[in-house]
Amino acid sequence: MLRFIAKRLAFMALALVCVALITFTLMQMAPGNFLDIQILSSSLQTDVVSSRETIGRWEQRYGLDQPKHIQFFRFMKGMVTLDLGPSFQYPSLDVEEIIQKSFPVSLTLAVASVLVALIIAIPLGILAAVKQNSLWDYVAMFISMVGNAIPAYVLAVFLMLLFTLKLRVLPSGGWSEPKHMIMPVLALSLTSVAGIARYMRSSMVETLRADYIAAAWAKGGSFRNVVLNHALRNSLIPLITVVGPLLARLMVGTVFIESMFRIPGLGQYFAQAAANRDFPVLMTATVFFAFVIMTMNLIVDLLYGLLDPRIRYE
Amino acid sequence: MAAVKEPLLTGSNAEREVVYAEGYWRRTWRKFSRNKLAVVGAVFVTLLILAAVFAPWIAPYAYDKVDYTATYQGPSASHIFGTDELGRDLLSRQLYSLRVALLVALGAESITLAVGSVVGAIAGYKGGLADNILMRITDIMFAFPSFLFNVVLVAVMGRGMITIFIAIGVTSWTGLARLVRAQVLALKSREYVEAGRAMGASTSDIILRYIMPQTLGPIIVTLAFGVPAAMMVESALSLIGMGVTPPMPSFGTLIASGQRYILSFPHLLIWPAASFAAILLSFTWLGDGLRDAFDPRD
Repeated sequence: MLRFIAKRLAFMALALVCVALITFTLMQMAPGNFLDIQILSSSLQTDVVSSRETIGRWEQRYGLDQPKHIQFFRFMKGMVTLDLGPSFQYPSLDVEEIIQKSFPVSLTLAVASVLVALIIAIPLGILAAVKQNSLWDYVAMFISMVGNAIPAYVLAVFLMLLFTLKLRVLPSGGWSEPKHMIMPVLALSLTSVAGIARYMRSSMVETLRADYIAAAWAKGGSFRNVVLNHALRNSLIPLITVVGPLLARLMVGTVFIESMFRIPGLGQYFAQAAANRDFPVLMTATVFFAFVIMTMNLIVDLLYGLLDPRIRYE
Repeated sequence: MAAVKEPLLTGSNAEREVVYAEGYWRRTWRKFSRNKLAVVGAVFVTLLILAAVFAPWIAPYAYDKVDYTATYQGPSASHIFGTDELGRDLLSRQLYSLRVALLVALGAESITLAVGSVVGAIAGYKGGLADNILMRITDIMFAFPSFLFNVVLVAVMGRGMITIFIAIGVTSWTGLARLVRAQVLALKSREYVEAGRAMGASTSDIILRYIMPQTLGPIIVTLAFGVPAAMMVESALSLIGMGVTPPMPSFGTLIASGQRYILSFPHLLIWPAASFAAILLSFTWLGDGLRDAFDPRD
């Protein structure tokens, strides 16, 4: 068990260094940087001398005058010690402050979406499994297909048309009151209901075929007792493998939902940083996202073993 | 359907081989054509491709033709889907968005097919070091969320259609490579491949004429699902301002700008979103149909 964890952590560290290295190399290859864009769009371009001075001072401030490998090591050290220096776009803000401020927003959004998705999907999956080939089954499978085919930001449009335009009960964007959460969370969760319900259905169908369920029916167990007490418990276990990656996918998927609903989460900063070539933020956010996703996968694997003693680690 | 033109073996076995090859495609076609959703998807996809190819002739206006006398118009006879804030025809802009989406999908899927099948075939057939290196790269690519990589690549290379399909192609070949590798691994020790080798077929012959034709089904299915996936990435990038450069439209930019007028001119949001959803659904139905048709079980 400990060996398994150690091995996974080692791979994780290696993969993260690779991610950082790839991102860093790509950014070095970029033609033009943040300041070029700023200079082009400001009045500085008329005064060549002062702009050259500005660039010099600016490069010194961000350590860009150092050799490339030193820059990379400084970045990696910053990642470990949580001291990453200021952002290009917001010179008064340190990158770790931006993450600290915006990540909880994205996390809230993702966790709420997973919870809502589970609340909708588990009963739907159970119904579809218990009443196979009934109307419920077809409804569940239809929702599943549509949810798979249409991305969250398109679903968000239909929600907006319904709640903002037609019913006029919800604002089309913002992040200050609880009601701002409803549409983004619904859009994100509806796209994942599909996968969870489908998984729940097949897991439940399989459990219901087990001998111990037949025994429970034979002893005269009620629907409630057999399905909800005996079968549900075992058929929930495989669901963990879906929820982990889902949470990770949602946290990345919030990038568009955040920019659509003007939510000040990490995704929003990530998209802005990409558009403005704010490389400190872009790099940190990329490595951070990768870290979160890998950690999530590890937790899922460990939890799975904890809940199902039949699983063994190698 | 595509029958094997040259018998793979001579003598009485050759006939059996040809019959088998025809039977495979004919059976796939029979299964596919019985699936109503799949046929609807296929017909719709064909129409979409025609509309995209002939967009310059079909579109009633140029996609960037500004008309300040006709801004924010609702649907009418002269503008079926209405006009936007600059008086540009929404139908024409959607036709060009479709063209962009399909071009990006075509470019990205070409890269996926070329890199994925070559790398997968080599790794599966050669094994050893080549296989090991490939699998480690794939592992890291899987750990790295592909969308982040797409955004970083576009940020680095600058916006534009070519950038987008390179970015998608670079991240999406790993899935196909894994699939082809697994297929090749399973097929390379089959008896008919052994027979070919015994008869002196070269390595490239074994891979190209003996093994790859058998993996065609799964490859087609993967590519069919790759098309709507690539379209989604393209529109998502455009949505956050990292996609094609204006004035070239994309469903992502149409949705993003339509959202600004949701209360005053909702048609600018409704039509692009509904069209895009319908396009994605038809590709998914086609993909589902192909997957069921190529499924060797039942």
